[in-house]
Amino acid sequence: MDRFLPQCCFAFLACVGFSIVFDVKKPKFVFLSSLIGAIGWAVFLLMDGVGSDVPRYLVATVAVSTLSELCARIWKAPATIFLLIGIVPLVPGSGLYYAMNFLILGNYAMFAKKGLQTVAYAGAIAVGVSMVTSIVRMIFWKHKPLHHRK
Amino acid sequence: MEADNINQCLNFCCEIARQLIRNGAEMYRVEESARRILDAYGYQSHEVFAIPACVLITIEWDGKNYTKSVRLRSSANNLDKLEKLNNLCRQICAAPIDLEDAIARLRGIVSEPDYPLWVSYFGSGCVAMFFTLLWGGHLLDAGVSFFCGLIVKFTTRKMTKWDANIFFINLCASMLLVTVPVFLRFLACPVHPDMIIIGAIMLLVPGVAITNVMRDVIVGDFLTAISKLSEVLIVALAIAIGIALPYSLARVLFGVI
Repeated sequence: MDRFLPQCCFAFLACVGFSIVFDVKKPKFVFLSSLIGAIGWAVFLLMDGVGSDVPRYLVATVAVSTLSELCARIWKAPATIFLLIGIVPLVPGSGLYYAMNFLILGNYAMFAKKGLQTVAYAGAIAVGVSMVTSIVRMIFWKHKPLHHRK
Repeated sequence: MEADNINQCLNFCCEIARQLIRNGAEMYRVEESARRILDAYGYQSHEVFAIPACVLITIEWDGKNYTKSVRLRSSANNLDKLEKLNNLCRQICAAPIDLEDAIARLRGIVSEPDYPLWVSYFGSGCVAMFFTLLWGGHLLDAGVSFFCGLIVKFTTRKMTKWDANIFFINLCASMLLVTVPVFLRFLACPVHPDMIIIGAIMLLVPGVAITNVMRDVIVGDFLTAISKLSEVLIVALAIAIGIALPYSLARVLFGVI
């Protein structure tokens, strides 16, 4: 936890890099989406010590997607812009690497463990995103029924 | 002259749907936008169907059916254009503008330049560098990682231009990025290959696609979700093989890394 602040800064800057990769041009959106990414990572770090990592990923993802939907409503932009960039620090790319590393070393027990962990983290992220998006859609679509849906 | 008008509207809707998909919109957004635009121009009876590979739009008017289909092969993520296209749709739905104007504005958005090449290279490098730092790499690792990010960007860009398939692109990019730190380690450079690889691999890992798959599932676009999911699995497999190959080769050639 002693590296809390620098880690959040790195997460923010990595997200800024990603917003360039995804061609986000408006400085406001670059800042907001990167901030969401940093907050997501901060939540992930603050949840340290809950035992398993799966709830950490879940809660952090819920935070990121809630903030993304909020920003989308306020600034009238697709939530995708904030969500895609904000979620990036949480994506379990390292798990994929370590799993393959153990496979090459011939350590099949650790390969299975890391591989399953990676799948579980990806699943936690997916569930977190889907929970928030479903709730938001339920709330907002009730007031605005689609007149052309027959 | 009504037929001309319908044709023009159909063309515009297909074009905006095509551009939305190309720039990374979700399928429900594409269908929704096209439906609302058709509503705004006064066509009551219409049907829109969009999957990542194809868009079908049909208008029924005065007892006649008008259909247009669009076939798509690749999509990217250009969130700036996505946001502007979304804005254009909103404006048209609020107050329908002349179709000629709408088409002109659409062309204007599409032809806007992306970030200059050096900026996008710099961005890729930054992503790799800061992720390496995030996971505890040292400054030297970060420097190498920046270079690896440039390699990934260069490889994906060139191979996309050459129409390579997505599996091969990710395989080659991850192999090249893994080779650099492993070779440096072989030269007894004090780098941490794992930190560098984890940082640079973030440029390839399909995390974005996973979240999109879930968003598609929520709105019931299972066809889209399945096709995106297969893409995710193929990319993940390509990256995994791309990591494994240079590593095992290095173990055979140089001994334990």
